[in-house]
Amino acid sequence: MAFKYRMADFLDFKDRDVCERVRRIPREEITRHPNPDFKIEVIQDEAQFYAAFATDIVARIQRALVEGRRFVAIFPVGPTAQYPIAARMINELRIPMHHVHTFNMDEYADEDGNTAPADWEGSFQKCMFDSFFNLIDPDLRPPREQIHFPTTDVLDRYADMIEAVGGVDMCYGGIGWCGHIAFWESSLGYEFGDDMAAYLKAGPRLVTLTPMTILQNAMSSFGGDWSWVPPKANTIGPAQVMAARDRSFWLSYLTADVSWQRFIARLVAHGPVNTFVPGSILQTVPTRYVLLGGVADNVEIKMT
Amino acid sequence: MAFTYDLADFIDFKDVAACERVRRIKRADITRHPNPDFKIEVMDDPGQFYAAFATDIVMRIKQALDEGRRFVGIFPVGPMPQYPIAARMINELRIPMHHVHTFNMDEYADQNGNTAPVDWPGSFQKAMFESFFNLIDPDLRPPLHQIHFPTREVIGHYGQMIEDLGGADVCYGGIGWCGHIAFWESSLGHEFGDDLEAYKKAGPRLVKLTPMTIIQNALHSFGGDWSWVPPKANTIGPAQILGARYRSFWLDGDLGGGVSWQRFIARLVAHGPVNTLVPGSILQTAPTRYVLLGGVADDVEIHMA
Repeated sequence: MAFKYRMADFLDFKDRDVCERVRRIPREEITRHPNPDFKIEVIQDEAQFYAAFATDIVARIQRALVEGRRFVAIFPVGPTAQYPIAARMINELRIPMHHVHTFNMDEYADEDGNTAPADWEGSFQKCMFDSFFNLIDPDLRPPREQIHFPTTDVLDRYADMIEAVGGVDMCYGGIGWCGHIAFWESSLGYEFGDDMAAYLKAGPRLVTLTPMTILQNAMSSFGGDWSWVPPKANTIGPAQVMAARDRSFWLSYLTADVSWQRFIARLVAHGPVNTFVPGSILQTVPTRYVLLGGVADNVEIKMT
Repeated sequence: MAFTYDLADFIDFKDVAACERVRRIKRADITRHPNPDFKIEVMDDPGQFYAAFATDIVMRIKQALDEGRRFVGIFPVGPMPQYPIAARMINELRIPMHHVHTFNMDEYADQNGNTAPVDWPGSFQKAMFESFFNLIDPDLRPPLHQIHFPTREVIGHYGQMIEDLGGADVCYGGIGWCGHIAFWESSLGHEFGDDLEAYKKAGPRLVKLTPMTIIQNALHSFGGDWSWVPPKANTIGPAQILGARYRSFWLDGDLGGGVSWQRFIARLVAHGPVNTLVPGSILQTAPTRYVLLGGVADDVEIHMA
């Protein structure tokens, strides 16, 4: 007997036919895409996956150095396991990072938009220093004034700060459960509707986090404690993601055989490009889109 | 520097001080409770945990058989691994279940309250037959008419059906991310406010699932696909949970790799205030076995990933 039902009210993207279609994409077909510049890969092994991510970062830093260029990158917090690996490579290969300028894509804020302080344990600033910058030998580290976060005091001019150093060479990132890039949430689609041109021009701002993002982060970083996740965040917008000269996205959320990311990985890569699935804009531009094997696995019902 | 903030709007229980207090309860202190009849245990090994759950079920079935009594049990879908173990024990120990009457606590429904059909892959009815009843030798199985689910046809008199058999001997269950028992959601607390007496008398009904429940079930049963989880469900109420002669709750929300969604809510249910916005908190007031898998008992800490 068929069982058809409406999707829950709180969900932002509500095209059920599309959801059913992407849900059925089997693992073997997940890397096929009509845009040859949107390159989907699957890396089965977790160690290989994070080493590949770290190597991508270090290789670009190295290439810019050799070519006498500045390297400007947007970085995410989550995934994070690549950062200690990249720091180790940088230290042991002795690659100076004085030409590197980093812009983190987002940071938590309270209900009034005040940014989480850098010493708060859930802060993305703290995480970047603990997992990456502070692990790099002091003589190789980028100067502190070249390391940037979208804090309340700079949010209004964060886009200009990026432009002032010549724009971004690479935007690294992950994909959230609601389809977000950075904390640019699915709910922001209501402000833009079908006006994709306006959406693609939207820049840094303060955002109210969706229930899905609060719960995703509660699970992955706060011991499941939904009362511990801040209600808002500052984030870059689609303009910064699209304006980068390249994009590299890494989807790795897997514990034992459970991954929340299987469906959204498909919806972002194979659903319609639209404002309720923020990551879907990646399909239109040169992007490396890498899935850990357990994320590529089929979307199936398993009662547990 | 301190960083304090409001809870997100969609969260039903908003007592920040209570949340902060229970968050800090260490694993070593988690089994302490002022009510000696609310018994908290921790079992580290999943194999031991599910075998203990299965044994609790089989022991009560056998005890009733030995005493010539009917056995009436309320059962959950989730946790699940205890059922095949219990079926194996029943078969190998040759324990007939003709005296057993089962009532499942909940089942999915569509937006209009139509129950998920028994052959739908996400149906709780299907899960119970496949993981439990159909694994029991046919000559030992309870008769089909003694196996009940809160479908649309019977939800109006589901409470009465339990009463007609003399009430439930035991209510088994788990705890959801929002603190729910069965699909009795945290959001229903807004209908009752502080009227705990009225709350405890509330019975079976159709409920709209909270975002937290949709996302929790997407995570562990639907490959993370939030578009695949039905929007509503039928469920028993606090009256059936508290009306049972005993309660036995099993919290296994540990995803491995150090990740568990259940650490915080396990604490809020057992050690937070008894209130209508955390449905499981009513268990603190009644004789209950409350068993945590080790990974759920572990401290609530921030680990950036």
